[in-house]
Amino acid sequence: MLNINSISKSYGDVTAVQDLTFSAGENSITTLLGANGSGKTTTLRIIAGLISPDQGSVSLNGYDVESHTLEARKQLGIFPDQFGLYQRLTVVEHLDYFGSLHGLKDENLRKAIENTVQILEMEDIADRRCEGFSQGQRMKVALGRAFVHSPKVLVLDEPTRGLDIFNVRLLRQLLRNLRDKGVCILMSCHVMAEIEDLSDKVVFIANGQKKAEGSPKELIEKSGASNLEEAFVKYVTDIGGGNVG
Amino acid sequence: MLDKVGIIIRKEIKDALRDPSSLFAAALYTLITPIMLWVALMAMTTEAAKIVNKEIKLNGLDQGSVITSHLSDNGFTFSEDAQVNVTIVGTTSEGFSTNKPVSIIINGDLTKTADTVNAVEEALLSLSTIIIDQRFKVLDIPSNFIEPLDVQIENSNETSYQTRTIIYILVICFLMPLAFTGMSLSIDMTAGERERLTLEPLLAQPVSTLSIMIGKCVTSFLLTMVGSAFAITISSLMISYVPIAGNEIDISFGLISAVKIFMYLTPACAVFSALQLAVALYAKSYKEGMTLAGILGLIPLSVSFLSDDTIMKYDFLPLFWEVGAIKTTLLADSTSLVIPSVSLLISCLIVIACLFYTQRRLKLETLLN
Repeated sequence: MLNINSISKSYGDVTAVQDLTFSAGENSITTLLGANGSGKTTTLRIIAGLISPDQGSVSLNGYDVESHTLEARKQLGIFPDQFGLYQRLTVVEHLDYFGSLHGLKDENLRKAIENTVQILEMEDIADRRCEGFSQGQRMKVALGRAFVHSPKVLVLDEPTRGLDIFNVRLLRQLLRNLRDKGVCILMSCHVMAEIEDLSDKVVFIANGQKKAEGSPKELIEKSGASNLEEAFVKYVTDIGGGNVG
Repeated sequence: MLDKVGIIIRKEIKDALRDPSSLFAAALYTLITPIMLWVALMAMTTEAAKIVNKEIKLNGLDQGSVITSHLSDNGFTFSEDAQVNVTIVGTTSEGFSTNKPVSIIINGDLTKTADTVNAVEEALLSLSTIIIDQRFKVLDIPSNFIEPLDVQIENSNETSYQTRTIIYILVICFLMPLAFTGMSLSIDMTAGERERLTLEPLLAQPVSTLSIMIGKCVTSFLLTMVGSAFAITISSLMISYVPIAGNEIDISFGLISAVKIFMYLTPACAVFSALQLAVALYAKSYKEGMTLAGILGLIPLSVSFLSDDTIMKYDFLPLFWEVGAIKTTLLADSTSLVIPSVSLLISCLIVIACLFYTQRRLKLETLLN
């Protein structure tokens, strides 16, 4: 369970996030939808404890990110907007490193690595160094790194960016499976079809503020739009703030 | 915390061992000064042991005379193809009987065969001295009349110039690794990680920034220590294999000295590993990190060039104490070393300050991005 309670963050005179409140529950995929520079990445970084909010709080499975940073991070798997892989480490070594940092050891670690490699269909590249990997292969490794330790909350920053259709389908299926296993998934995304297909809940953000939240269907109905894209544009430009459902 | 530090060290070492550019830089900086030492030693010993070509062509009427036999006794051989011609004008028996000097002309290319020409001249002058001595004896003149001055030379400096030169080079050999061996790795682990965008995923893990920095610092420290060990071992081998005996070089550099020097360098290695990480994290890019760390590396080299008096005067400072201790060890000086309590304390404070700075800086990384 992820709770974001009235967070704000400014960089000098620029307000990145302003009084943002929403929650993401277990067994659900929540999507942050906003234009470039709307504050999505800043929000995700605050959730990961990489940035401290100027005000407000974030809790992950009951752990406050500011006061119990390390405990909160144990609940979290993060998939950043840039994959950021170690070129000289193999896939298995990546999973071993990040699994170990989350406290997995010996047999548990070995099983977690095997399981991750299998789920992400990485058997053929498991012992290869990441240097020279395709975008899809890099995505798989970054995703494996994010959930090798079976996190309760998974945060993904634009996960489908740059992926071909096969990898998008694989990712989509994987996120559904994780959701069904009880994982709370929060992601930012620009692809409307992806959002409509995957999301149980969508949060519209503009200028660092929440404009609306609800299921895609609810948002479309409430706005009177014919699809989610139109609904988003209406909320962000015309209607203003408001919650649905 | 320690297990997390161990995980980070393990990963960083694995990563470093697969980084050919960092390894090449580390090896180069570690080996470059021992190679310089090798060249210097070889130049010194070759100069001293230079073998003069003693092949000459003897001309004139008096080739079987006392001159011929004296030259032969002094190792000269005679050949028609020799490049140096020694011509005896007239005969020695005639010259000696009439008390007229025997004229001898040494002819040779003074660019190519100067050593041979000088050796012939030296041999003939020594023969001349022998003949003078014999003539004085015939006249019954005592030896104290012949040599009224007894001049002896004594060296007031126990350490020869050659020894000091070699020690200077050795100190540079030992300081070079701590200045440069871990440099490339330190920058790769910090500024490099930032540029490759691997820092943010790492910072999102349940591990404190202090643990991350300790892990990286220990890795850099270990590599620097390995570099130091290599430099010391290679230098020691060179000293033991080059024929320095008889060349006024007196250096104590056995196994015990090598181990001592390795131990003396430990605090300095820790200081420079921490400083390199701090500088690399301060830098905005990998390139800037290399530049700043390169400038930082000049500090130990500068200290190695300071006079012994200055080194001793400031031996409470890190690096000064280490250099003084190394020189004392190499000279087998019986002067007891000052316990490096103040120097060690300052070293510890520098390492702690660097770790504090780097872990604070790491917390700001995502903001800086």
